Amino acid sequence: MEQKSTSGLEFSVPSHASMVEQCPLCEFIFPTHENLVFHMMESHPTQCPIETTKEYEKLSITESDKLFIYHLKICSLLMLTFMGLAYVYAFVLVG
Amino acid sequence: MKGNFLFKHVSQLFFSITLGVCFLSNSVVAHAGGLPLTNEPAIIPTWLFVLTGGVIIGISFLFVSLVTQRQLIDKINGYHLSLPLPRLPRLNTPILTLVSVFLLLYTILLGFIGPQNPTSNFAILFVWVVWWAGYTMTVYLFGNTWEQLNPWKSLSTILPTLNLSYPSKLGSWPASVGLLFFILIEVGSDITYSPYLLSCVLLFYTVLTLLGSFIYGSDTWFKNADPISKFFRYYGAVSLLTYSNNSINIHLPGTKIMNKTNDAGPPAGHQVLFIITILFITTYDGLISTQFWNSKIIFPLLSFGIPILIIHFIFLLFGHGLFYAIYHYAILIMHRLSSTYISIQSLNMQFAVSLIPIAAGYHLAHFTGYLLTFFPAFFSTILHPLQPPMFYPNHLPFWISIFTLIFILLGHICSVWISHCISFKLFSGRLQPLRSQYPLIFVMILYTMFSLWIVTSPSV
Repeated sequence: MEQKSTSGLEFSVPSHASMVEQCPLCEFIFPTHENLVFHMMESHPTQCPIETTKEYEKLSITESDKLFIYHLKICSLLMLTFMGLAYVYAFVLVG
Repeated sequence: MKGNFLFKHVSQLFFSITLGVCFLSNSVVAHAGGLPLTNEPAIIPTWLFVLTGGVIIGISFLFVSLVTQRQLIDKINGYHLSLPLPRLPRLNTPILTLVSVFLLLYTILLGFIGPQNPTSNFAILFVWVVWWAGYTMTVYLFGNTWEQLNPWKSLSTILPTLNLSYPSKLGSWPASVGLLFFILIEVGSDITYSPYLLSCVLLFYTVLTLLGSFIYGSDTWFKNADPISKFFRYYGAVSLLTYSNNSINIHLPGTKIMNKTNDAGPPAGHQVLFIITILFITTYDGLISTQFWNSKIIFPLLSFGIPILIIHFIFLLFGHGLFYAIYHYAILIMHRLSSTYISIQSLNMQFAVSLIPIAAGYHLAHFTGYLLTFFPAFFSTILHPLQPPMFYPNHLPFWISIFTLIFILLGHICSVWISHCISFKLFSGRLQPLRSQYPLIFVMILYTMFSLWIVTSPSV
């Protein structure tokens, strides 16, 4: 199924899709309810019903935890990259 | 499931890189990082230098990943430094039109009657040094002025028109083909050395452009089919400056696209192809000037008796297709990683603009030395168009080469940022936009390494 949102984006929903959530305000289509809640609070914060706001607060806490872990991984990766590059430079310049 | 999918693709890509590095190392390590404008050997081998470039792009993505608040992203994109615009007398449009048309006719004339030595001919130096290298830089740095300066557009407005409707199916195809054809004759013929041939091509382009605007109307032709106008329009979209009535605003490159204040906008489907063409031609222009490309690819093929134009034609078609395929493949993986219902075609269109700063950075790196070397010769041809003094190019200082490398990295870092902003506009939450960027960032890292290899390879 193909559809266009008011923002001009085209959507392609697979025929076997189990869940289709659509933003009532801009016709944006999402595969999960969580995505829809995030979208509504991020794109239409003043037009959201209270239930959505409460749902967003819950989901936001869970996502913040995941994001914290993600950022820890990013910091570790940054450190590893710097160390790795420093080692490579050391080996090349000494050798 | 997603992890297996990612692992499979990442391992495939790493395998391809390893093969690529093995293939290229023989020649590259032998040259050990000699920079094109100097004979000074670099301290580190080329492979490490190229690897460092890739790592810098990877690190820039990691740093950008720490910015996940949409308000902060909007604040950064909205930030600009306003400087008061001095009250200068406004240039009259008819005068600009007259000057640009005069320069076109003067260039064509001097191509025919001027000295046929390329470094002494006004036409060669004006077209390749001032316009193709220097003027293009002003467009992506300061903004697109081609709409006002385009001599062909000025000429077309005084001619009658049939105003036939432009076939929508054609889209940007004529512009993409025109740009590829332009590069084909640039690299496959003597147009950069022969003033006579350059003037012939300019005349041919003038006739073709005026014919196109006669059939479809000036505005339609230059908006859809003219390769040069489209080329400058896209470069202008990433410029650092915008102008208001009394001030000049300096902002991050690409914020015009983010804030939708440019006329290029998010490109339509067929225009993605044109952006890929811009990126590809700048790369190919650099690639063909490397010793590696000439000694390992071009000369062996020439020894089989294949004409140089055919060789370049095949590589242009193949390379352009390859660039498009890599970009499209990255978008396909992005579509699967982000679990979105936004169509692949829409993602293709939205992310294409993030490639323009890469092309701009590469253009700046490739042509800065060229512009600085030959600009003094152009001055001589202004003063003595028919008998300029002999020109002896000076070697540029070492630090110019360092700047060219910085320009490439800056172009890529800007692209990483633009891609990050687009992801946060399209995908909801904070983790989904970050994860969606992996494939494109990976392609950018590979492309940075490839670009750095080109500019550090000894040129012919």
